[in-house]
Amino acid sequence: MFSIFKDLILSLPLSSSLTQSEVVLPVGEISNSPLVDSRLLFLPLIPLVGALLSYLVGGKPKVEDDHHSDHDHGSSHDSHAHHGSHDSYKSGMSLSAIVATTASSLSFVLTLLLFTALGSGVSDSIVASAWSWIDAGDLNVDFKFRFDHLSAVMCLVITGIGSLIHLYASGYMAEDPHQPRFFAYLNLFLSAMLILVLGDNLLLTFVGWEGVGLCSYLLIGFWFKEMDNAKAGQKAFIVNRIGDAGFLLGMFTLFYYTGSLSPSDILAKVHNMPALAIEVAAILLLIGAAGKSAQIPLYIWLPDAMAGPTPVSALIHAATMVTSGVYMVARLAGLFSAAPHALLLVSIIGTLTAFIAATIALVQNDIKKVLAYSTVSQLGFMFMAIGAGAYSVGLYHVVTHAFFKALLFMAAGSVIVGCHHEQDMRKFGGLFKYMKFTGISYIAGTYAISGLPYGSGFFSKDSVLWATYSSTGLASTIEVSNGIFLNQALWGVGILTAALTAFYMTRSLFLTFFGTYRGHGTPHETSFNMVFPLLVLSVPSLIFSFLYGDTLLTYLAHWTRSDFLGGHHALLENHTYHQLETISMWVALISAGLSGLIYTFAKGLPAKISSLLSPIYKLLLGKWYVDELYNLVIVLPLRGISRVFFILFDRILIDGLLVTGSSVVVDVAGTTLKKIHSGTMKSSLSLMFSLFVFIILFWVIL
Amino acid sequence: MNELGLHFNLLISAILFCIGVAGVLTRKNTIVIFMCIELMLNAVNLTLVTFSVYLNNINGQIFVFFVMAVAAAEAAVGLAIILSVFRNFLTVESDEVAELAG
Repeated sequence: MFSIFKDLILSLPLSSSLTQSEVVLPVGEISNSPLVDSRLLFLPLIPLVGALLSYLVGGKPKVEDDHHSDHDHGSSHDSHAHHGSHDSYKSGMSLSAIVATTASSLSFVLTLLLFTALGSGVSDSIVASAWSWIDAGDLNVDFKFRFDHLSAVMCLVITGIGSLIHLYASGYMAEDPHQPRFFAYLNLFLSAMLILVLGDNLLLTFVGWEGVGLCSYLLIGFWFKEMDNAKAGQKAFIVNRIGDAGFLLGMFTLFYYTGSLSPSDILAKVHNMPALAIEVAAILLLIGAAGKSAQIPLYIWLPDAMAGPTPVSALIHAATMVTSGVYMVARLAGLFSAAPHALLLVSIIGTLTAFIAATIALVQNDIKKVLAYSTVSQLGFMFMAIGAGAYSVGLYHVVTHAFFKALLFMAAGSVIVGCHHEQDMRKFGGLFKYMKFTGISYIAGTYAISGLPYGSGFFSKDSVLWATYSSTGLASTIEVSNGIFLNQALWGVGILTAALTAFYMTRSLFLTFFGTYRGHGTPHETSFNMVFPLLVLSVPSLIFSFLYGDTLLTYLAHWTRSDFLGGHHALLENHTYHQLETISMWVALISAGLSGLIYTFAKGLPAKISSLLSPIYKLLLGKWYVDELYNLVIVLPLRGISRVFFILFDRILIDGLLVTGSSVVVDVAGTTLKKIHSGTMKSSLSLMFSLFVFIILFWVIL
Repeated sequence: MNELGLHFNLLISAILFCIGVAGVLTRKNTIVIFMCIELMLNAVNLTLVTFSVYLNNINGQIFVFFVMAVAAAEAAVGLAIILSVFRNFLTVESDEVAELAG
């Protein structure tokens, strides 16, 4: 039965080219000519169709009575149904959830098929061109997708983790009357993200880039009846626009100098570009990446984005969309490698972001806010790796982070649902007793993110730190103090951040799952749909790096051609690497252990410390007052200028002079001239005669 | 023509024309205004005839016949209008018929 199905697929005219090229080229011989496989076109198409279908089959939202609907959307941070007691969470999936999850799983299956095709070693990449999109003079853009090692890894993460999150969302949103809308957005996001990753030119990538931005906005403000959610959506959208402007300008710069928008063409011509132009283009693109990937100075939208439903936080604002900045930089690795100053900037920004976000996460009490700042911090780590020129390591961390952060977010969502839509960790405690599966998953996630030995975060974070330490870029030529170079200083900050990470994650774990329950009501374990993805993700969070870390790095290095590591094995011989690894391991262990001890036995200690260091505590609690600073430096002056222009141009020039002015001119002219129109023959005649006389006199005199 | 001279004739016609204009502008009775218009037309006729003789060209005199014919037609139409104005407003004073006042 299955083989018939397979034959059917392969016999489709669309895929015939694949079978042909498999026949022509002997397996094992690497050819650089890309494989043409039209199945690739279906990869973003499936979720797109899924989005349409899941909206259409959903029908009208179930009518809720007005009393409840106000209550639902107006009362709680992250709640859609306050009135649900635990048995109201049924595991039955709505039709739109089924459609959306199916579409997402199908694209995962397709990704696996393509991955296998790519893995057979026939070619470096699979391409599929739908049509010639823009053909205007020098600008030729095809609607073309490219599936290579880099996008393969991203696609696997997007569709794989995406499918699990879809399944999870079907449980999380079970009570929500607007599920069709939700799942349509979720599938639309997948489609846009796949276009972003697969686009063979920057313009197509930009389409996906804007698409995911749109979906992010729509999903953050999903419960838009509450003003805060709508505002958070707008904030994300506007901050992202700033980044997008950078991306666009960078794209224009590259097109100006290379005459192409395709990454491969651009990278081939990079060395003909003036050095300054390379730096400028890289920095502009970096602004774009910083917007999407929530780096300083544009990270402020991400913590607010937690206003969206938790599956959205897991899918978009932790696992996939926010890594697209890292992806884009890795895609243009050759460009950034040729721009040492831009790379230095990337390292510094990444390190600062990682550190600052980690310090803020230390004092947050909202479990989702902790995870949000932790995401910003981890994204900072990815930028550190990229800044060191180790693109494959950055993507390695993208993958492991996608596992454990999606897991943590979903576990947090499960806790939130289980505790009747409470997000404050001070009202949790002792939940392990009530929610065993969620608890185990959260422990796995915490273990991984804290960088404890042999968890997946351990290897990827170590690689990032080692990449920073051993970087030969510009950072290694700047001496910050006696004998210590900037890259070593950045490594130090990285280690400190890793310690902070272990500390605040363990803090959140102990506050949530251990001790005694401090909330009200009885917590309960959530439905199968929610727990299953958690357990599935726990496995790679713990062992992925141990089993497949080297494979992944080698696989990625295939594309990014980064000379970092040169195989992980060579490193194991390196003495310094061993020392650093040991340091970071002990730092994480001690930090996590300390945190565990404090939040188990010395619960009063944090309060004492915070009152002792109250200025610092307030600074952290106020999130370094970055929002306030931006308000003061950017928003207020902008409003002032807008006010001036509003009065000067809108009120005075347009409204006053042009609109009212023209009506006044007509009015005055009318009142004056109507006197001529007395209707008496005499006045008309005398006017006529005097005009005649005037004309004749004029004529005569002339 | 020789006895009176070109300038004399033109002066007469100019004076007649000005009397006509003055009459049109100052009088209120529509019939008087109408008569004054006739006066102006005749002043113009006199000019035309004068130049016709002076330039020895018959066109001017032919034109005068046209003017007279038109003036006759105009008199008929004009008087009809005045008559209907009187029927509607019971007056022929031009100032009192001011329906078109803006």
